[in-house]
Amino acid sequence: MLQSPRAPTGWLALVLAVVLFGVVILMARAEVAAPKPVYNLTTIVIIGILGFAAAAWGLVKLGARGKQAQQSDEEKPADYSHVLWLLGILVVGLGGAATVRYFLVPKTLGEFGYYRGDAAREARAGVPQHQGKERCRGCHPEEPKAHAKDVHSKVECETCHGAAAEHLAHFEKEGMFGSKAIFVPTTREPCLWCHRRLAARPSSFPQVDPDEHYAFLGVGDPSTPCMKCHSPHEPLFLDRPVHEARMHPVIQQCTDCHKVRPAKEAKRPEDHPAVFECSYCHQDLARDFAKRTHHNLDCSRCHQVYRESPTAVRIVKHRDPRFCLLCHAKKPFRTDAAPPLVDWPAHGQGKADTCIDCHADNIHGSKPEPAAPETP
Amino acid sequence: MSNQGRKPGSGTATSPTASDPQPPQRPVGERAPGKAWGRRQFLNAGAAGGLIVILVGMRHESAEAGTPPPGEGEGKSAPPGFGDYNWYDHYWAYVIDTTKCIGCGSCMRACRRENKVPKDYFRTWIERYELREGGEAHVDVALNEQASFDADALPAGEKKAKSFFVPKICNHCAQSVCSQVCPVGASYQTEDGVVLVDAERCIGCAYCVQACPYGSRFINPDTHIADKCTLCYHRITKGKTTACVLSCPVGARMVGDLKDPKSPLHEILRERRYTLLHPELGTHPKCYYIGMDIEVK
Repeated sequence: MLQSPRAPTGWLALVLAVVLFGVVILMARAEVAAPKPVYNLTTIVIIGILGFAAAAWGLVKLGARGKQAQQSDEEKPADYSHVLWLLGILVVGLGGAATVRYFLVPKTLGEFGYYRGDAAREARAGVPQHQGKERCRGCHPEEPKAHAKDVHSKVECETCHGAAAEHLAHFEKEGMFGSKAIFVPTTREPCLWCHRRLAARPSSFPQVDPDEHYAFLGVGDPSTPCMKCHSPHEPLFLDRPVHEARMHPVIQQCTDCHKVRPAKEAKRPEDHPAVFECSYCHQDLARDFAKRTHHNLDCSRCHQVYRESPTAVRIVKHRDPRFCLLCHAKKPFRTDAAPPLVDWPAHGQGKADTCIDCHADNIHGSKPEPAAPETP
Repeated sequence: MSNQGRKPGSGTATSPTASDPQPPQRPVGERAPGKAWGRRQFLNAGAAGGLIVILVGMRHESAEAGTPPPGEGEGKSAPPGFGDYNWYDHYWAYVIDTTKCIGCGSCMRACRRENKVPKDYFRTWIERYELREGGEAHVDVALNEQASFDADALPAGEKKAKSFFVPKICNHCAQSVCSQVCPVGASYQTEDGVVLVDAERCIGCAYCVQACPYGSRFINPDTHIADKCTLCYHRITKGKTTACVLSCPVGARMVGDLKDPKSPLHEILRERRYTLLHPELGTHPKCYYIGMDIEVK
């Protein structure tokens, strides 16, 4: 066979090998560049092996021809079996490599790109831990009712109580009375995570310096939890949902920019932009309020604002005596240094429903309510 | 074509004049019987082969240019194994309103619970910037167990300028550096635009950790593989929001689908002024920051 005079087959085989290698290179390049698999990897490997085979075959053929030309003087044809051996080793080696690769490379690698497609399926399969407040409402209808109308309405149950998955699993296993496994804050720290006064917090967000606050209210023990006075589910005892409260344009106050409120008698510098203190519009009320007992408080202490959008706030109204009692309730942990303390409801028994029924004088003179409805 | 084909010697490959004498060059693949191939024939054949290769390549290039880039609608049906979730119909992005953030750390605590992030490590975190008068910034992070800031960083006596919180999270870049450098295909970007780590393939070489310009990755001390925000992939693909967004008490965070025309994300990006972290790096981050200060890096 090697002595065949049809030597040009060798050149043809070499050309074929070049073409096959070119195809393999292009396919491999496309495979790497494209985000998704373009060709079957096995196809590329087979074409590559065919290329090697063609190259080897061509070389053998050409070599045979060259030898044949010299052979005219010699007796024996040259032995080319070692080339075929090499070819055999090459084919077996590549075939073995392809087989090993087939078993080692994950099946879904390259399904969508150069990664395991199953990894995305596994990532999706995780079990959500946080459930959302709709789920909580199923078993706890009471707390969400008050919660929904007060200023914490947009705070999820699990923001304070932690993820509920364990709690639910516990409930499903142990039944209603064993079902704890949820975080219930009992110290003041969890409240202060949000409400501690920090320079970096937006000034419109309610925040306190706990030491200052406790001193002002005559609370001696710093370990007293906030919940002794403030209900986290109903922090302000609003008499209507906060999102139905009166809209008010955003007012820029001195403290929105200045860390320390300027002294009352300080004059606004000429080149300072006009700021809109409450007294800017409500002059009569402010003048009247300055004579009353509560004059040392900011208007916003009672008329709290709820920032609903960058341009609008809701001004909430308090009629519930529990709001006044936040400062004035008699509690075992409070000293008399605090604002005057009363024992509600014994104090107003049978006389009034709200504090301002009797104590309006301590606040400020009230003007007749505007005729326009309060709801927007 | 048919007219040309009839004219003898028009020189096209279809013409039946292959046997015409053409002294300078023989047509490819044709030779006088018995005559050995010379260098000329070999070069001709090589040229023809090369031409075929180039043509094949060109065809492929044009096909490549026609494929839509990631993030555009393709109208494909859901791949198997994803249930009713079709990731070709989604493209997730994130919005952080730094003007709202109160630095309470609820997101960090929720992420830890949701994803079982080991102690002292965070997939999302809050940076606090406090600027001295003159512009020098003091930056710190609450890495304690409660993830809470307990006091101002700058002493009370110091002259302070502005200060604010900046929540940070993986930007899930459209051109994510981390997944490009991964040598084993463990870091990857899903079709719906989320950058994830395949725990099974990751070898923990930490190449991605040092490649991420946002510091969003770390080597998990328990599993010794790369760990990062998954955008709560197990939640968003089931119609839930991420744990950090759910737990944020002031609505400073939002996750949304850029392919969903009804997503409130579009309204925010249309109306609010936003910026990106390191847009100059060309990573195309998908975390949009509202009210960001130039000091934030």
